[in-house]
Parts: sequence; structure tokens; C-alpha cells
Amino acid sequence: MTEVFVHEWPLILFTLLGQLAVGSFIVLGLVNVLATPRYSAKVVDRVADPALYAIGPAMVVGLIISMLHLGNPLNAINAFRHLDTSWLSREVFFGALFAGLGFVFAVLQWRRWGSRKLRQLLAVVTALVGVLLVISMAFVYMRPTLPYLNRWTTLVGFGVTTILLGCLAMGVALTGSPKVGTGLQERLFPSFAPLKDHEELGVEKLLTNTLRWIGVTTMALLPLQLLVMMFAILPPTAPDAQMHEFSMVGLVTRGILLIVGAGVLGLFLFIGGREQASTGILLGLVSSAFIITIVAEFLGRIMFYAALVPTGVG
Amino acid sequence: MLGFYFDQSACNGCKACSMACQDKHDLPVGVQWRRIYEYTGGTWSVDGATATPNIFTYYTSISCNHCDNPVCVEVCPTTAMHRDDDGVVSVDPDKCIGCRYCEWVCSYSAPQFNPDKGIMTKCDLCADYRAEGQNPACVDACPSRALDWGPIDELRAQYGDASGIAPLPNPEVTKPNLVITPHKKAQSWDEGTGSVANQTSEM
Repeated sequence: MTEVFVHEWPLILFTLLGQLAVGSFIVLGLVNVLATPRYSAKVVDRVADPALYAIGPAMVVGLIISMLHLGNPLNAINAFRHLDTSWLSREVFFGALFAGLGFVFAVLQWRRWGSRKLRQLLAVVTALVGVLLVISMAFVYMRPTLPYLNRWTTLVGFGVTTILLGCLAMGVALTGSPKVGTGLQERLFPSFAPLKDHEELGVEKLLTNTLRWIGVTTMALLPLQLLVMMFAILPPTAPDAQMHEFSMVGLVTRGILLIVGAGVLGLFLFIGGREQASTGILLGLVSSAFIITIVAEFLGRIMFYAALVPTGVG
Repeated sequence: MLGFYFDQSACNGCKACSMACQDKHDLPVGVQWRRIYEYTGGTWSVDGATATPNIFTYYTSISCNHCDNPVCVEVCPTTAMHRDDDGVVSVDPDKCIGCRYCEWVCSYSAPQFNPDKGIMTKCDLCADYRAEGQNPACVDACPSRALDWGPIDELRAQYGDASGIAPLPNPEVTKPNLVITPHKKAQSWDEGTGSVANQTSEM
């Protein structure tokens, strides 16, 4: 397993960061959509805006790290040349497009340029490109000569990781951003006018509500991810599949971490959100859940790359 | 379409083909465009007080099979991996970014990463030798005359169409331009009762 990490760490980090970024963008979009009818635009923006600016760096760092995997990074631009058959080409294309559209959206949102409708439309397009990025990531590995990865578990596993990490990363960003300090926020986001008392209450209510739903989502995704893990270790039906390095300790550790991070802490988040616990407690809960879950998914990704073994003598 | 012929019944695993390839293309240690797999296995039967072993070991010399359905070409993000009109699959070094995706998906380990160059490299059936009317280096180096090359139709007409011999994969997936005269104890790709005995030296 250590050898897999030594060789493939750029791809392990790129796929995780890419999925985290896409998931975060989608979750943030959902928070916007679901909150808009019940809260004023000012309240929604105050909660969602700071978190938006955490997503771009994650995606850009991921893309830069992915270049470290290349033997000849100076030619990297060539990776766009084979969009008609290569899923890797598509992955790079959608990755760059997602980062680009996300950047434009973030700038428009920051400066309040364009109408709200236009910005929402751009956000939806960006989110769809993000979904295509995660699908491309999965199909890169779902090839007929890769019997351990050419199954539904790759696609569904990537999808669940995307939403799981997105939920918890945004949970941390949304809860943590008020702690950065209002002074700094006002300098960073000039459109942040001071809030009235009832709006401050609205912000708090939206935060606790969001965390409650994040807890529900991670709890709901937990059994799905455990199911994916179980199906992914079944021996492939192809008689020409080779053996691969498999770690039962790694699998069990990942399972336990997921149960604690997404399940137990998800439940606490749900309860904490419902009872309107203090943001300090909620931040502690959601940060722990995020760290534990990302360690679990990191472990899972190392095992995923260990299973990248072709048929025959490949 | 050009391809290779391999007489498994004549191969004794001496690796002269692999060495000739290494030498001709000046490949660094660890980059092997042609490899020789030792496939071994067996069982035994008991009749009364007598146990009779039934074991086998045979060698398979394998390079790129310049497949009709080259998965390496399909997945390459740069179009560096391409197939010429004569069917030969090769890498354009000016386009390759060394992402190694072709290496992941090839069931024959044909594309190999050259760390000195930072790009993928592979067998091109010794294009320069062929241009001068010579045979590929591996073919001429074999002391058992177990290797041949040429238009695949002619090779199939002469030697048959077997190519799905373990430890090689199901030939239906990539449709290799390869013809094998099987060893007398050769196993089909889907029997899989043996294992590669020299995995570490040939990977």
C-alpha cells in the first residue's frame, strides 16, 4: 500500500480534491436554492459567500498536483487533444472548465456583477460541468481491461465521495467563516453590509438548519458507501484477472472511520443543528467529521489505485 | 496489418529476444519492450498408493501485438499513441506527456515508461530495420527460430489463429495481431490454473 501511495499520490490527491471541490459547489448551490424562499438574499449571501472562495483553491491545487504525475509536464496542454475517445482527455477538459467557470462565477458573485438570475444560471452550468468531471474521473478507470475497477462501484463510489466530502467541507466553511472576524470579511467582501439584528438571527438559523441537513445527508450516504466498499472487493468474474495487493486492515479501518465520521458525528450534527447548539460546538463537530471522513476516503483511494491491475500480463 | 508470430513449443525461455530488443533500442534497465513470462502450474492424481504429478511450465515471449482494437490508442489523451496504416502502434514522442494511462490499461504491458525521457516508449516492430529490409531485432536473435513477423493474414494462413494462451488475456478484448503455436501443455486464457513464476523480473 505504501508503494501505491509513493507512486500515485498526485492522482490520489487530485481525484479527492477535485471531488471535494465539485461536491462543495453542488452543496453550496443546494443551500442557496433551498434557503432562498425562506431567507432574505442578504442572509443567504452572508452564509454562502465566504465558503465559495474555499472551493476554487482546492480545485486549482488539485489540478496543479495532477501535473506532478506527468513524466513530461511541459507538454501538458496536449492532454486536450483526444476528447473524442479518451476519458482522460475529457477529465482534464471538464476539470479546467469547472475551475474556469467557477472562477468567473466567484468574481461575478464577489463584485455583484450581472443580475442574480444570470449568476444563478452560471452556477447551475458550473455544477453540471462538475458532475461531468466526476463522471469522467470514474470512466477513466472503468475500462474493459481493468477488471477490479470496471464496475458500478467506481462510479457510485466517486459520486458518494463527492457529496460526502462536499457536505462536510461546506459544513466547516459555513460554520467557520463567521469566526474569521467580521472586519476581515468586510474588507474581503465589500458588499457585506452590517446586518440588522433579525438578520443576524436569520444567519444563525440558516447555519444550524444547514448543518442539520448535512448530518442527515452524511448519515444517508454512509450505508451506500459501505455497500460500494463491499461490492468493490468481490473477485472479478474475468478469468484472466491478475491478483492485486489488498489490505483487509485498510478496508476495516476505512469502514470504522466512515461510521464514526459520517454516521455518529453526522447524527450529532443533526441533533446539534435541531437543538440550535452554539456555533462553537457545531464547528467542532463538523470539523471532526470532515477530518475523519477525509482520512477514510484517502485510505479508500489508496486501495482503489492498488486495484488498478489490468488483465493478462499487463 | 503487421503482427508477430511466436512458436511457444520451440521457446526455451533464454531471453535472447528481450536482450536483443534492449540492446537495439538502447533501453535503460527496467524498460523491457519484449518480456518472457514463465507460466507454471500443475496438479496430481492419486491412484491407490500411487500419486502421479501432472505439472507444466512454458514460456511466452511477448511484445506489443499491435492490436486491431488498441485500448492504449483509445485512452491516450494526447493522440501521441497512434496506429499507422500498416497497423503498427507507436508513440509520437513530441506529443506524449508521460501520463502512463496507456500503461495502466494494456493487458500485455506493451507501453513502457522511460524515466530518462519522461515519456512512454514501445515496440514499433523495429521500424528502422524494416525500412532497410531487415527483420525486427528480436526475430533474428532467437536461437530457436521461435519468432517471426509479417502481414497477419499470411502468418495466420501459415500458423493458425491461436493467441488466447495463458497467462495472456482474452484476445477478444483488444484483438491482438499475434499468432501462437501453443506449447503442448499450453492452457487457454480462461483456464487459469497456473501462475507467472517470474513476475518480479518481467514487470
